Amino acid sequence: MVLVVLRRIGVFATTVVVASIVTFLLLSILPGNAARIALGVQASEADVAAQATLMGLDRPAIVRYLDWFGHVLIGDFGTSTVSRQPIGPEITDALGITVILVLTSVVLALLFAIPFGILTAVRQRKPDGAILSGISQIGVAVPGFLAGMLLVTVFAVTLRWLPAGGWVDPGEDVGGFLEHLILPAIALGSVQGAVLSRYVRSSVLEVMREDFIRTARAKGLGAGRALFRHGLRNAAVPVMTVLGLQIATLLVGAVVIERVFSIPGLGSLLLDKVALRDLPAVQGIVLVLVVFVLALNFLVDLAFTMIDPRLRSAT
Amino acid sequence: MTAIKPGTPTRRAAGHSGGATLWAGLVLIGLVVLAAVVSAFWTPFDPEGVFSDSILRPPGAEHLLGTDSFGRDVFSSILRGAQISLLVGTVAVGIAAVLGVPFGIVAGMNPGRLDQFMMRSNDISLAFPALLLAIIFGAIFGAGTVTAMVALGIGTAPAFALIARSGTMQIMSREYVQAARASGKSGLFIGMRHILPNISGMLIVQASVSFGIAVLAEAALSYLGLGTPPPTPSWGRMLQDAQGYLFIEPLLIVWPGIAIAIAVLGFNLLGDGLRDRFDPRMQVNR
Repeated sequence: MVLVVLRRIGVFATTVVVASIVTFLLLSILPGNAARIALGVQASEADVAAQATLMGLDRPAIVRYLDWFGHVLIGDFGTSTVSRQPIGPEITDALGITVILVLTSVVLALLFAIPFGILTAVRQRKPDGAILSGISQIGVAVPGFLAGMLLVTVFAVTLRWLPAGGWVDPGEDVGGFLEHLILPAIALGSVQGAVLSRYVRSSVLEVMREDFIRTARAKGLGAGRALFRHGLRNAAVPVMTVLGLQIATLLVGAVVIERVFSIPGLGSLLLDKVALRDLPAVQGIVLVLVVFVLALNFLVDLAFTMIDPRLRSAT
Repeated sequence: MTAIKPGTPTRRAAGHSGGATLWAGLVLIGLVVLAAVVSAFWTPFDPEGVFSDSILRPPGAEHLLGTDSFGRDVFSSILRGAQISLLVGTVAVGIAAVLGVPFGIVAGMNPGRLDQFMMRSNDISLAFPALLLAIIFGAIFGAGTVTAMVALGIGTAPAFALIARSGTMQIMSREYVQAARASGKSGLFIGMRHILPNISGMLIVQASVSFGIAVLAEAALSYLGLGTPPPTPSWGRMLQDAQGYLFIEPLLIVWPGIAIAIAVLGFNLLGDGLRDRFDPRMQVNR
């Protein structure tokens, strides 16, 4: 067990390093001369050359990569070419907000998807099951940012119960924090919940046809008890896989949702920096987002090992 | 959606359910295609101008769905917006298939080191979701329709690679493939002649699902201002424009929202219906 975990950690670390190389290639090598981008097309050749020396661009790419990634490891993301301020503190502040938003929406999505998916599976042969399944199908087709706008229209514009956007730090005012969190978290979680509920449904249907459920029924357990005692643990594995795969989608969903609700998270920061074409900042933010995806996938992977003993011996 | 008890013949009942889903999907996609084609020749009003005398009109006899903050007829913009959604979806899925399918087939045909290496790199590309890649490309090359299509295509390719690989691995163990290898046929021949035709069903399902995702991603990009630039109408940017007028005319977000949902639902249902057709084992589940 310990060996398996250590091995997974090793694979995770390697993946992070490779992802950082890809990020560096995309944002430091592919765009061409960063000094020219920072100064604009009107700058003279001499100015560009001076700027390139200042930014350390005259060094070989491998040295620049090691310099960048080495500093990132100690939390230094370099300096913005636009504001001339260090990027790290901005990223850290924004990351905290995005993590809260994403995790809350995962919890909401699961709270919705598990009962709803089981219900649609159990009621599969009844008309209401078909209707519920149809609702989840429509839920999958609605983009999260549209769900967000609809929630704003109902709860902020019409009913005036909740704010239409913005963010309050939980340290300052817990009530205000929750008021600002609830709509974006529901918007982000609802679409994920709809996707997940479809997997919960097909996973439960699959498990209900398994021999061990038939055995449990034959022993005299009711359908409900057989499902809860033996079925759900087995149905959880494919759902967890999908949850892991959905994390990347969830995170880019958060980028858009943060824009809808003017939340100062990592997504808003990324889009601001993209608009300014501040590539060093974009590079740092992209790396954090990608590592976030990889880290959550890694945690889901570990959680798997806990749920399903069969996977412990596997590579 | 039809249920099947264990022991009942599955083919007819499931075929029926798959058929209904398939047709529902085709009808919805048909509506979108119709809107795109008709709007190429005719729209009730010009969707690209500015009309200061007809700003924010409610839905009525003259403007079926009302007008937006630039005085443009919303119905005309919705019709024309179908073009950009279908264009971005088609090109993105095309790029994804061209990149991902050969990659997946080569990995599936060469189990061992090469396959492991290719799949590890595929895993890393999966950590760069299509929408994130599109935002990065927007930063590097400047935002626009072409940037969005290429980025979404590259970002979707890993999904095709995964599907193509798992299909290839199933086909590789078949006797006719082993016979072809024994008779000295080249890898390229086996890939083209035996594998590609046999995995085309699952690839078409994947294409349909990916098309829906690409339509969603295009809408999100346009909403963020990283998609098709104005004045070309796109559903995502209609939502962005409408958000500024939520307090005055909330209906403006409903129409493009419905249009996006119809397109995405259409491709998802088509994907589900085709999956029922191609994969008999899945028939019972969906």
